[in-house]
Amino acid sequence: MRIAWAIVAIFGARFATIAWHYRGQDADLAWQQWLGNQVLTLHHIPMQLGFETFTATGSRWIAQEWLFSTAIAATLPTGRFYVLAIAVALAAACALAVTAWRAHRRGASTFATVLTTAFVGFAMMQSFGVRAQIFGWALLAIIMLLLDLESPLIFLIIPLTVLWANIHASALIVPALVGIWTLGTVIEDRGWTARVERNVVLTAGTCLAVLLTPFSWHLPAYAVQLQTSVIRASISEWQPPDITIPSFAVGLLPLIAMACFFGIAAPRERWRDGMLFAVMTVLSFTAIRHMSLCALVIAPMVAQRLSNAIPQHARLNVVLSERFSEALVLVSSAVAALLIILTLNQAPAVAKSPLPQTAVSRIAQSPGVHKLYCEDFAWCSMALPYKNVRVFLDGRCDPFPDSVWKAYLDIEKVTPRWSRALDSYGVDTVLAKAGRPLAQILKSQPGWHVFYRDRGYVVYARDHAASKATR
Amino acid sequence: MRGGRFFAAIVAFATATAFVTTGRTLPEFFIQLRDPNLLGGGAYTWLLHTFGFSFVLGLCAAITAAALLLASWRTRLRGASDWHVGLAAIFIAFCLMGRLGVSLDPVAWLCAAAICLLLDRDDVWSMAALVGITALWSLLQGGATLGALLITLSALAGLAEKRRFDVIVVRKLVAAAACIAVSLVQLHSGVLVAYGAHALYLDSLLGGAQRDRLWVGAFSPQDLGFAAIVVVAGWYGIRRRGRLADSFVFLALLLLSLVDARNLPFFGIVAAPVVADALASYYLEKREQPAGSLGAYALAFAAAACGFVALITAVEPKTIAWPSPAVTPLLSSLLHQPGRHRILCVQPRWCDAASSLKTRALSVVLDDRGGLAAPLARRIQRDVSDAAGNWQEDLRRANIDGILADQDSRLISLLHSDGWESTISSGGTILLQKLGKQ
Repeated sequence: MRIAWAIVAIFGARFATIAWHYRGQDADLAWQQWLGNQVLTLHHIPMQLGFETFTATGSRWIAQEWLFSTAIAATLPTGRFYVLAIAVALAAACALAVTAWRAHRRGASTFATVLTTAFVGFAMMQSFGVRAQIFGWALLAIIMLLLDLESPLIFLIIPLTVLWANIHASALIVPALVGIWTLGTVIEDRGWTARVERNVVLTAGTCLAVLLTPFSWHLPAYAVQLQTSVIRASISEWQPPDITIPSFAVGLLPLIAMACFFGIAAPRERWRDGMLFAVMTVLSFTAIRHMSLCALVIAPMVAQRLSNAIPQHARLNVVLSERFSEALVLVSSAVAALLIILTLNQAPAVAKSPLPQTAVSRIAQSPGVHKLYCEDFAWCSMALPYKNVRVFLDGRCDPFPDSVWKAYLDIEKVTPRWSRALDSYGVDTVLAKAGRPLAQILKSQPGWHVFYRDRGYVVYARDHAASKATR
Repeated sequence: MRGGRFFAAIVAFATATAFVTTGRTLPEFFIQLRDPNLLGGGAYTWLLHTFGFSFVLGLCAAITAAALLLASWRTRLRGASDWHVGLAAIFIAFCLMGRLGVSLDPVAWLCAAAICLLLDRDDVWSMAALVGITALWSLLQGGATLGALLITLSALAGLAEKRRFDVIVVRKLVAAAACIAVSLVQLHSGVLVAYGAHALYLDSLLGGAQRDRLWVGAFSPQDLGFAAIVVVAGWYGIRRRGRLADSFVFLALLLLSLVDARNLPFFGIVAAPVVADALASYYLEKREQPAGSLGAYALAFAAAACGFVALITAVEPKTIAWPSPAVTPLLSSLLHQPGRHRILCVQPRWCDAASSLKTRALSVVLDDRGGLAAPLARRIQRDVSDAAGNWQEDLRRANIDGILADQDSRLISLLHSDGWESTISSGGTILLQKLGKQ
């Protein structure tokens, strides 16, 4: 098991490095900080969009990440972002460690535990960042462990679900998972046993737990509505995983392939495991963001079946239990973790910020009120703190109506309706990536001029006369 | 239990009916008809002109049903009960749904089903038949690389299981070598390796090439078929029956399906019998061996298929014309303009229809055969479709004077600002042409 900790440490080092530099990587932190500031200063959670946007003022907003946003607002401006970064890296490492422990508890061999833990680590890489759902990963791993334990501690799942629901709406998965677990228990026990009764109470408890947020029943309603929202098509995390994505190809897919080879539920008709495998696997095929959830749930099952399938004499445990071998693996892991930290710290993709902060601040510095459209809606999050910049659409994305989304996509994809969409909303400033189609078309469009340009971005502003005519 | 006996036949009939109801032509068919490497193209051209489109539609439906029944028979031969055979047939039918349409694909499905059936045996005649089927597949449809892959994986699995070169292993390895050789033999092709990769749709991973993916867009029947097979396999385990060959081919086809959804029908045909058998192996009391011989069943099916094709041919309009894609009028309009034209299609598949026009006045940058195209053509295709890099310069250098784009494409606005104009539209697709070139 100690070798599994070494694997967790290697991935932990990688997560920590990514988290450390995350501040300049993700524009969503900007709107989360803005939301957190609102909570800290106004002492309540905004329930609708304000005048920071000019397309959807007054639209209902379920600010489901309010707790995480408050943490960002409390740490980022004071230079203590590293606290949050370390907390997120620890949450991811915790998810990995608990999953490894689950595998160990199920009787998995050292090799099987290490192998599946490594696959889970790879599956987590794609979605990792300083993001609210990472705490959800840790909570999911703990909840799955509590389900496995089948002790009175199982009722801890209810407060954990409350905590999760206040961090991120992905907590809605808990009642579904516990419900499936309960159904599996009913089938396995073939009757109303004490275990079934306990699990039914637990399922009801988790259903109520997700309502214990400032949004009450609106949070589940929001999660359901999101399943059919047009915004899913524009967010990469909602796209189905592809074999060209490393986290899928060398993370989740090997786990699924091993499950297919060994069989999760047979031969003892493990309905609970089988049903969880089925639901999570199908879910993982639908969206990249579900890959890590699926890996965390199925990895211990796969490790258990892998161990059962390998004869005792063929296992690596004997070799790995030798003091020299163990020391060698642990030292190698420590070196690997150190190398990961050193190399990632120097990698331009990690250490340098790709965000258009300068462009946004230049827009804010120019006199007058600007109606800003950002080619990537997340960039507009950085404009929220500026009173003289109102945005078309920003990283909060969920509360914006479908009509705004369709107009946003028309402009971003430069469909034949792009110019009309810009005019109808009175957009006077456009932030685009240099060389991309939107920048190309604006370059040749009368009535627009370059307001700002740097190596990566270009800001176009309407000519004064054209701007007046549009209004 | 008797009611389950007809499950596979009912599913096969339903699939054939869906095939006829769809009544469409896969764009690839236009390329297959003109491919000098494929005898199937010539044969189908003759059938189309002699008996009409309805006959070919009915024939494709009958061949699809035959492939489905053959895979079901394979399930039955493993001792699965009728209900489990029916389940396998349903899984396969779902996997086929996305590719129902007139093309040479049903020939490939039938060959794959026959190869899988023979792979469960190890006698000399079966091995010889494997080589024969692979050769026939190679000549008719060109996708025999997949057959050779299945046979090679099966032979390697046999070697891994026995860990020695006994007679059966050597026999399978020799058959696999022969199949690899015959699968790469094309009538006129010089790019054997590229052709082989295209047959497995591995070339779809190349930038700019046509690629079909699972789980993209709305939840479809083929997604359901894929998920059902993976879930049942994950539940019961494909190693259950102790046949390593099953696991090898299952995992290989799982990967290929994720590479390109056009491989999914093969995954269904190969994997559904394996998972249905794994499931059935838990219900020993219900295990049954099939009664009657394959020959007798084949004869009965052939008679039924003849009746089915005759009925379809009689009922459907007697015409040699087949449903043409929406883009055909757009491409045809170029033929009325003087000079030679070079076309780029935002979806490479749209350019398949250019093959049906049989003219040298029209050439395309890229069609479905991404792996056979030059790297430059793929780069131009990718850059122009994404409007990235020096794409406008690429258009000039490659003498491209026509672009087929969908009505919401970013290229329309960009090209309009560069002196191009939309000349004609059809079915949501627009032909853009450079001004002054007409």
